[in-house]
Amino acid sequence: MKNQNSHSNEETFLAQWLEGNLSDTELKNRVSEADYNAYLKLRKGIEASDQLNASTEDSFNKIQQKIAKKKTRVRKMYPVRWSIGVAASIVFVFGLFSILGNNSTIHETNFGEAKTITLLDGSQVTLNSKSAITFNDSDWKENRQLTLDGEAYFKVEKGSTFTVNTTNGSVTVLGTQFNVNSSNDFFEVVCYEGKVSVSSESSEHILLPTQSVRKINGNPPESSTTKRLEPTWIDGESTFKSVPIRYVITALEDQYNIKIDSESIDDTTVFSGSFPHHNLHVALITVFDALDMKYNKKEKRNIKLRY
Amino acid sequence: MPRHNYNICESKIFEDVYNMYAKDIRRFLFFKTQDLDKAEDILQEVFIKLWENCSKVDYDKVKSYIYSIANNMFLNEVKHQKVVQNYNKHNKNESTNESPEFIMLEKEFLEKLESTIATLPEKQREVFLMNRIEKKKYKDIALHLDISVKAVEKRMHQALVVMRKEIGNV
Repeated sequence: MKNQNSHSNEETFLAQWLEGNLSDTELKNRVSEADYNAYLKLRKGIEASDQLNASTEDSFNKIQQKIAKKKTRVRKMYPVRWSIGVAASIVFVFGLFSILGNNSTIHETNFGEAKTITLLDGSQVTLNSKSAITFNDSDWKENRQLTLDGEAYFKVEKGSTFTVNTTNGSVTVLGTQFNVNSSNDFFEVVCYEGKVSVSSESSEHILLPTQSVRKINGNPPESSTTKRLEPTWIDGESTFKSVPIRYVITALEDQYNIKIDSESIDDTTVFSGSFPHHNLHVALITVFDALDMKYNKKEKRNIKLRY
Repeated sequence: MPRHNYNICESKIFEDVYNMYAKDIRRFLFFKTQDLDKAEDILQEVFIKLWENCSKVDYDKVKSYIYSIANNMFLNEVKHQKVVQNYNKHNKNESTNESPEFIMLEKEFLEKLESTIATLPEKQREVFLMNRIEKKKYKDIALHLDISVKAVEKRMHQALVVMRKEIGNV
């Protein structure tokens, strides 16, 4: 009753309506059409005016957030670009040096390729896929030094010190057979014959036959032993022993020239086993089925892993 | 005109510029877009752009700079809307997003309204502003002014009647 009274009150109904206690239709029934339209516009005007005169502080905070977000994005780019520039110039200058100053020779392999090179002293190097060695022809007899990026198996003739430099450390021998795998942050040296000295930034190792040392991603080096007389990849098979899967993925990519998307899997999962070099299908099954990972079998070049 | 050597890239100066013009720009954009959310969005974009170009903008010319940015961004928005509407036309067969009761608020109308509010009789204005600006319910206003709720409602009703008379036929 009381409510109805207040609704029907001639002196307050506009206040009721503005507060939402009286509907538009009820208002329409009480006033002329011109008044009704005028009041609707008035209400909208009043609301707009409220909002237009309200503080702009919220918007300023949002602006600052957006600017901050953009800033980090923009700032991140510059050091990268800058460093790429510097790196490129260094590579360029060194490149010039090695082209003009020295007679350096480069041997490299492509996806899925393996190549055996006989050096001037009769030593043999077998390169695994996507690997490269660089050495200096002119003074090879006195200075047996080469640079390796990737994986290679060495059979070194006896003679002066033979050094393999990699970004992860260097390997020095007198005459022996050994395998070096240095890709990105993975570094592994296996000794098959003779005596091998491995030195990296943080450690020194002397390897005897069947011994190996491995460093992954800056972790302390691990030593282990092998029963083989030469690395399995020479026979067309890559073998891994407790290796994080992402290195296996890289090896697969290099071997088969494919892209593997490992975003949705844990790429630190440890893998032990091997995959063949001649059959991608078998290789994928052997590696990923063992780890319970699935992939799209239709896509040949881009393989996306998931669980 | 005095020459200033203020640098807009200094965050304090930038904030001053914002506080000086943000409401005007928002208002300017509201009359163009008739949409407060859009006005807010463009307002933010305008000042982000000002910040990005802070070193290139002369402090003395900042006002015309932000107005022209605001206008350009509004025009871009219109272009975009046309594309969206065309798309909708092709895909939905003649349906409009605008409600039939869409009410256009012109700059002149709002200015008239605001000046009317400013010149309302004191008692009505007091109640009106408490309700609108401080978002107080009639009951709270009554308590605050130590009058009856009915009295508050009467003043509010009266204020609306006055405004209605002032704005004339719309």
